[in-house]
Amino acid sequence: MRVFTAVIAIAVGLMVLFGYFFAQFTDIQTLLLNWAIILAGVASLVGIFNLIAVHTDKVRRAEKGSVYSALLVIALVATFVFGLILRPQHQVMQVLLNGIILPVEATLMGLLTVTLLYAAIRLLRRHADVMSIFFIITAVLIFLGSATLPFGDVPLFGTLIRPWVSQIWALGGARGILIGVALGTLVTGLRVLFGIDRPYGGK
Amino acid sequence: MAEQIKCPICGEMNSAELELCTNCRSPLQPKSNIPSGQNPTKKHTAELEPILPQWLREARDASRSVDPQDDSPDYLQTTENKPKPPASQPDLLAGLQSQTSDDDEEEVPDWLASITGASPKSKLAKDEPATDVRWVEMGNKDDFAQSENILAQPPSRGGQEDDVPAWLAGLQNESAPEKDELTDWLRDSNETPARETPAFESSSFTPTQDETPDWLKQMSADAESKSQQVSSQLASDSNFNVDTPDWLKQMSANAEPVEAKVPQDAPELNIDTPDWLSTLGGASENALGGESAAFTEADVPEKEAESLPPMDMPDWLKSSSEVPDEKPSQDTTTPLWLKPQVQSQEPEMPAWLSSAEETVYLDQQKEEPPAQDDLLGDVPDWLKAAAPEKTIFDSQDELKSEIDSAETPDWFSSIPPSGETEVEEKSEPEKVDPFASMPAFTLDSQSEENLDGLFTEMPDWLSGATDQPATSQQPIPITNEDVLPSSDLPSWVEAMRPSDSGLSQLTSSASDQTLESRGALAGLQGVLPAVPGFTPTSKPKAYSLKLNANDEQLRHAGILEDILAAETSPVPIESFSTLLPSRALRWTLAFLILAVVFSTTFLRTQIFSLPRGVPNEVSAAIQVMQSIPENAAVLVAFDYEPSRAGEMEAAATPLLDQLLLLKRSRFTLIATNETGSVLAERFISGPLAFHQQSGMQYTNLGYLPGGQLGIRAFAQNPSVTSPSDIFGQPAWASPTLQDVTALNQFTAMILITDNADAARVWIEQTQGLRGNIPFIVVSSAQAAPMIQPYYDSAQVTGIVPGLYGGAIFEQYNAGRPGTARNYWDAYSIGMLIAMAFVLGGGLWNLMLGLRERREDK
Repeated sequence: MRVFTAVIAIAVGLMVLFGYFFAQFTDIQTLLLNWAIILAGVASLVGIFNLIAVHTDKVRRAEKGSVYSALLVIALVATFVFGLILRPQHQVMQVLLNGIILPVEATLMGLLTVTLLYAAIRLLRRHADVMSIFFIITAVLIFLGSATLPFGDVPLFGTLIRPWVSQIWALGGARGILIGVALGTLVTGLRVLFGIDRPYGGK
Repeated sequence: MAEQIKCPICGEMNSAELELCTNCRSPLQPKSNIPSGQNPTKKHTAELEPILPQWLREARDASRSVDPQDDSPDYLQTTENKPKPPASQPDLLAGLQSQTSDDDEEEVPDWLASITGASPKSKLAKDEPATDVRWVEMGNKDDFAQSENILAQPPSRGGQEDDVPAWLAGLQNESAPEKDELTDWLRDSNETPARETPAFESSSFTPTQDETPDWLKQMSADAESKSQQVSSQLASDSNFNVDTPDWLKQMSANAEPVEAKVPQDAPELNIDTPDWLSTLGGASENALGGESAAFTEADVPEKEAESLPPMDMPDWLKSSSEVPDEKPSQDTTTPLWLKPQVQSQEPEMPAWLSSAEETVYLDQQKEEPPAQDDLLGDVPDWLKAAAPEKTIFDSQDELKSEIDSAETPDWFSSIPPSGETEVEEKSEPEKVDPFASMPAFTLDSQSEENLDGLFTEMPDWLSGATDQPATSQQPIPITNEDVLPSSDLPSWVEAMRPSDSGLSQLTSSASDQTLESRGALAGLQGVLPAVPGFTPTSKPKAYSLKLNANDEQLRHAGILEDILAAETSPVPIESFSTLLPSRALRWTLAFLILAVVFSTTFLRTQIFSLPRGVPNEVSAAIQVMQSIPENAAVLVAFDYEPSRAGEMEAAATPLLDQLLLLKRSRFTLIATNETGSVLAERFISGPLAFHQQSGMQYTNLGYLPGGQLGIRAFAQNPSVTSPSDIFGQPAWASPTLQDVTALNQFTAMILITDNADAARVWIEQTQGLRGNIPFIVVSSAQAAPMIQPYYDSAQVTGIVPGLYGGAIFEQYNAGRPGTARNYWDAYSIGMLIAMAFVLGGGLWNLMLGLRERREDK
């Protein structure tokens, strides 16, 4: 059975891969990708139902924090039903988004801002090393380069230093990360195609 | 009236001329071995003389020298003429001279006739019972096995042949005249004792110098004088009971029930019993009873012997033990050639035994157990104990002394010179083999007393082991003192014992007296001694623990030791001074930032100027927007989180506003995030509400699942992957997507994302399918550096990085819609405050940290 699944996975992977290089495999690639989209959507639904079942069980057992589980289940079911019935452009859905989802997540981002600022202030008290100092200096330079003054950009920082830091240093680091990600993705794909890794089951 | 005879079967009277009974058609006259019309042929066995024993041949020669004309030996001559002194008879069978009558030729036994050449008497052969008592009579132990073999064989003969002893039947058989069994038997009697029976080796069965065995001389001389005394002496001799073996005594005791089962008309069971045994058994009230008691051990109760089952004893022994008073004719089991003498002298006792009883000194034998051990030299002690204490070998051993004195067998000497010449015929011999179902020894019938007595002479080690469970619960240790001495062991057991060296070693380790408490060796002590080789004989040699290593090896070992020590030793955690969370600082920071941001936002101040410098990626995006034709289909992908909605809307609103305002582009919205479709509707109904109210055209395809697979599928065939909008209507038939069936048919692609990975997926999966359409990425300030390489590689046409890029793009949109500008003062003040806190607070905390570390040092 494991061999059978491996054969299927490798065959599908090869056909999808060949679809990038050969036009003859485009149709089969599209078909397989559509199957993958359907499966991904079903998986999302399964995940939602599993979430509902877990928290419903917590409510039924009256465990600690079951109130939050109950709120989660109620909000989830309500959003799901409203979304299916009212569609996303409905005013109710917009109220739910603008009144609950967006402020909550934006607040978390504001808290993160204060926390990061507080940590940066006290960083040198614990670790007064080079990296900490570089971190603080880089942050200060970007802050100064991103902001403007009432009379215009901060001299040198907004027109020279910030672009130099972001376009040279940060871009170099980002490219290295992207290259690493690309190599990792390539190797992972090859391992799956050769049957070395079987994330679909088996070893 | 004609002579009539009675049918032996049905009793019908028939004419003597008839051969068959008129009633039952059975033969009226028994058949003889000699067919009618034929005369018995005279057999001459002289040719077998060379195989006779030397003493017998000499006896025959002597007889021939006396009477060359007569073929019969001397002893036959004496039976024909007159009795002679037995001592003067040189022949082996001289004693028979006194038994036989004077003129009756039929008294000559067949076997004697075959030797002497006389014609055999068929009647005697017919009436001779098939008995196995030769070993008893002759004292040959080998006859035991022979009799057992006979028992093992089913009776193949019937009728008259069953009644003939085997050793006589061979003589009677005419078909094998060359092989004289008597000769063999006699030869065996001379050979087997020397070969197999040690007790007989020392006996005087070998001929003496005067060519007459001493026991024959003694037998013939004392036959008449002692035969009358034997019975009375045996009856009165209570000591005779002492040496009677248990098995024989029990057999004699159990004989009576068997006798009760015998039918009245059946032949007597004791027909196979020799006289000496038949006279031993029976009731104790007669003279023979005393003789039987003489074979009974004094310490064995007689009632126990009587309680034993009758099946434990062969018939021939049973008959010997139950000789009744009213059966004086029990000596029919006696061989015919002995019977006349027995009947004439002592009807209840064999002659040879009667003569031998005088020499029985059982008490002396009991007092001299080594004598018996000598007889059973090859028998282990435990078998000696199990064996009958007094057997025929004992009697033979006793006879040894008697023979030494008189040199005449008792059974020969007991033969009277005169007696009846006619042997009585018995009606029917016992056809049932008395040994068929009678084992010689049955331990089941032994009582405990008998068993105890049986094992009294067992070796200590065995008797101790058997008595151990009964005597005490605690296992009795068997020490080396209990080991059977090697001198007491028979040779075959001695051969099985370990060698003396090993034994000595084991005995030398007697100090190891470990008592085994469990297992098969429970109760044994010292049976598993330690091997002497392992016993330390001296102080163990001290070996030096110092390694013979050079300096380099020691140095390497030290390095390895340091590595191991570093791995195993716990790393001390650097202790820090407890830095309590500064709640006041956090509240101060939060209060200052929120106050500045909220104040500048709500006050809508425009103190801070917009950025003046335009990055290249933003400039490229501005150029793309300006190059897009009017009423073009533009694909807009929403892939950001609601938390970043403020930044992303502020960055993307100037671009989309310009497209709607100046180009009246047709937007096709699609989301690869679960909340993307809702955020897209929010974006349309929020910053672009003005355009929505004015009738902008857009189509929201909703959520595209599958991640990069969905993006790839959508890029390949968007109409198949997302065929309908969020309302369920066919999307690709709407005016928004008019003339658009593929990705490359869109005029431009705009990706609004705050995730660098999402931007990468869109860039990579649509690169070969989107063609040459411009691809602009509106990203957050955080993800812009990760997308910048795609711009440098021309995979992305332009980038609008966050609020900073939106503020720049808004300046090229105539300041519309002004969202970036509204946030820019707050954004700039917040950046400056953050920079001030980080820089000032960092320096302050750096100094505090240095001071604390200095104080700690």
